[in-house]
Amino acid sequence: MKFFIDTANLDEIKDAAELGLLDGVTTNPTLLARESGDPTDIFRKICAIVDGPVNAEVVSLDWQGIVAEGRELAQIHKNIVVKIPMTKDGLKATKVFSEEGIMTNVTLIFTPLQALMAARAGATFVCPFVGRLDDIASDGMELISQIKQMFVNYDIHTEIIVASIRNPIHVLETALIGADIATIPYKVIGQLLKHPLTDQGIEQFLADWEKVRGR
Amino acid sequence: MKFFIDTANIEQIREAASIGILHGVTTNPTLISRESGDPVEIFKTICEIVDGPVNAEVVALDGDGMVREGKELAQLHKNIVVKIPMCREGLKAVKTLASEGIRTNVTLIFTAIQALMAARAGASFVSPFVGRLDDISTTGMQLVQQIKQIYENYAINTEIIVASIRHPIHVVEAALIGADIATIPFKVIGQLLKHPLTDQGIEQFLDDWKKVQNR
Repeated sequence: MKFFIDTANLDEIKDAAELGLLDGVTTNPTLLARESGDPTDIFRKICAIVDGPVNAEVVSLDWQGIVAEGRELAQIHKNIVVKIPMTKDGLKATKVFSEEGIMTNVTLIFTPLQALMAARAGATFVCPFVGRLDDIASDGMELISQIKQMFVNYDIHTEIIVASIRNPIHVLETALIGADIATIPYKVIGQLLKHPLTDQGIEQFLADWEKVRGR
Repeated sequence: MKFFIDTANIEQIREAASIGILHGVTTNPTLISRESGDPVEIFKTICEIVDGPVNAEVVALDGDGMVREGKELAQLHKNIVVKIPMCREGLKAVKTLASEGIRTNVTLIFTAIQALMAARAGASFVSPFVGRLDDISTTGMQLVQQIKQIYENYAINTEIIVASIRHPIHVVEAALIGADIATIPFKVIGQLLKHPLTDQGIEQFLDDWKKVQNR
């Protein structure tokens, strides 16, 4: 499983990169709205930190507009992935990009057949949203199992990015299912590193080591 | 499954080596504090007895300090593995040491994602602690099973050292799951050799043999 971070905040991205656990970045218009500065500039800076896919989302809704925006985004850096919402126009644009060799990520996926359609349209990645399904009393991770099974059934190479991750259990289940990528908010990366027994264990070892030093 | 011994006691290590089932040794600051003498000398002596990985733990808490200590430990002998606690600074140190070809063992692992993160940072070994999870009414062996499955999902070569082993059943389950290594306290190695039916069987054979000899 590859670790992506779901943020547009440069400090958070730098910190995750230092841990050696940063294979890519996903952003969306909401995450960009939380940061100051020109989005194009932010994407450039992210690409300078991370040697992996950097997802930049289009905001047009018609396929011609999506194609125009996506081509501009793709010119920023070779690692830019054009993130496109799952709609009819979105799939048309995905097909165009796939013919032009531009990487795409079809986002806001909530059913396995949306994922299958996106893959058939030529998407490089799909983003099923697990937390938002949990929010409406549907099992988000069940969606991941189903997409994984379909992609295995048909030998589809589109990579699954588990998105809308809210807690460490989402990441654990992603890894157990064997999905390609988890895109994780900064706060959850911190939670994943920690366990109270790890902290207690370090304390105990250090206390015992003081005895050795005191010799 | 490889058999490691979890001790810093030279007599115990010699004894385990003499029965031909000693592939490596794990130590920690607590185990070192139970023995007398200079830790460096203890590590050197262990490396003379065992032809396999000998784990020596750092006690610094900052990444730079861990790297410094780790490099010193690695210079003692080619078989030294630098043991590093699972934490943010620990993963940074693992990344640096791995890039210099120094083997690391990330210890105090209590969740499967901690193990995945350690592997991705470049750890050669991870040490999940089963006994300490059992202590808080959580099934420690389930952690090992999850790590094994995740490592298989992504073809990860980091070796799993089942640690904090308290009794023979932990070793049976480690082998059934197919974990790479069990690091076992001296007392439990003794327990594993024995079975009352083995003892009874030997007694019976010897009794019967006396009849043959008295002919």
